Amino acid sequence: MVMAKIKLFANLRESAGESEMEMQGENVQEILDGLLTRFPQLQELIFNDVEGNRELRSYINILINGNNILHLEGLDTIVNDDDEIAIFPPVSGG
Amino acid sequence: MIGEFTEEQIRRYSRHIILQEVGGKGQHKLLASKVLCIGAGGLGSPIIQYLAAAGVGTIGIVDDDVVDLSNLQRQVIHGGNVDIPKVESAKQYVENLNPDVNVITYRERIDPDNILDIINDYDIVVDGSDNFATRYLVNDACVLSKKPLSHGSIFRFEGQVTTILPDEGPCYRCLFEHAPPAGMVPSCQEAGVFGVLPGIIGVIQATEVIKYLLGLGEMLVGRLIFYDAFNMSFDEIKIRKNPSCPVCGEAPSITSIEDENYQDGGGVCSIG
Repeated sequence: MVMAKIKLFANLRESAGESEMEMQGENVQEILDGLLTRFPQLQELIFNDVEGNRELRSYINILINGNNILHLEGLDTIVNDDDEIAIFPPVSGG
Repeated sequence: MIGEFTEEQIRRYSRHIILQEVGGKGQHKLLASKVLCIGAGGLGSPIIQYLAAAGVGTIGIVDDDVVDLSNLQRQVIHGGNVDIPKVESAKQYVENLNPDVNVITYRERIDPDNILDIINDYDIVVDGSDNFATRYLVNDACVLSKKPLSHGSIFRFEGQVTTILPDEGPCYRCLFEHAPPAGMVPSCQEAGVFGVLPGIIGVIQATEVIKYLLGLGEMLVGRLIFYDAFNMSFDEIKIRKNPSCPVCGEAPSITSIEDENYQDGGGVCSIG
């Protein structure tokens, strides 16, 4: 089973109460499923509920080793051992 | 070129002038440059300090707020100026530090009606504002006006910083298409902010501005730096132009500055 490292930022980190964790999964979708099972409170911060379908919020970025999954295969992007997945929203303070 | 400096200027800028990459020529460029700082708060303080010290000839400062005692934990230019408008306090600070700098103050909020006129006079814009509505407005106005923009923002112990050169790299909306809806990001007054954090992020922004004005080095374009003060780590993420970006993409839906795009200041984070 593939084990990836997840890094959460800003309010996602605050809501989960942890900044880094390891998660199992073959692709981004499975990794996120695991993350949301462990931290259900992240669900509404990461996804929109559009008529029962989850949709990644437009301002949430998911990167694998610094590359946005939108430029890869989206939620189907394959995850390899030791990949680092960063999930972050914008922040506005100044 | 050295001949055109006063003796005092040669002394003041000697450490720049002897740097081969800056020199007398670069210092003259800085003195002839105009930079607009949006916000004179946590990020604005170090930005204004270092731009003024470097001898950026004209610094515009936009802020409608007055100095509050709770600001002084991080807003290092406003000492002794509680209840005074931040733009006036900032102007005093700059005049004490470097009389070569002409400060232009705008004691108002930047809004869809005034932004294009205000940014038009400047070589580069630095965003040190404290809410999403302003950040998206500044991004869109800079992209539409082809104006370079240094973006920095903070939350608790974390900062995000990038440089936007329209036409050359991605903009803020390429990465974050729309602001989070109100309530999705906790208020920063509740969340708090680590006082030294905006110092680090603001200084990175000032570095980028000065490099841009001098045409020096590698800019932070197409890259976003995350700084985490808690774990003392820097992460760099590559960001790309989004072909479907609503403002700089192939078929943009935002082609002018209209009020309705900046109504939802979702997650307003007034920690200035």
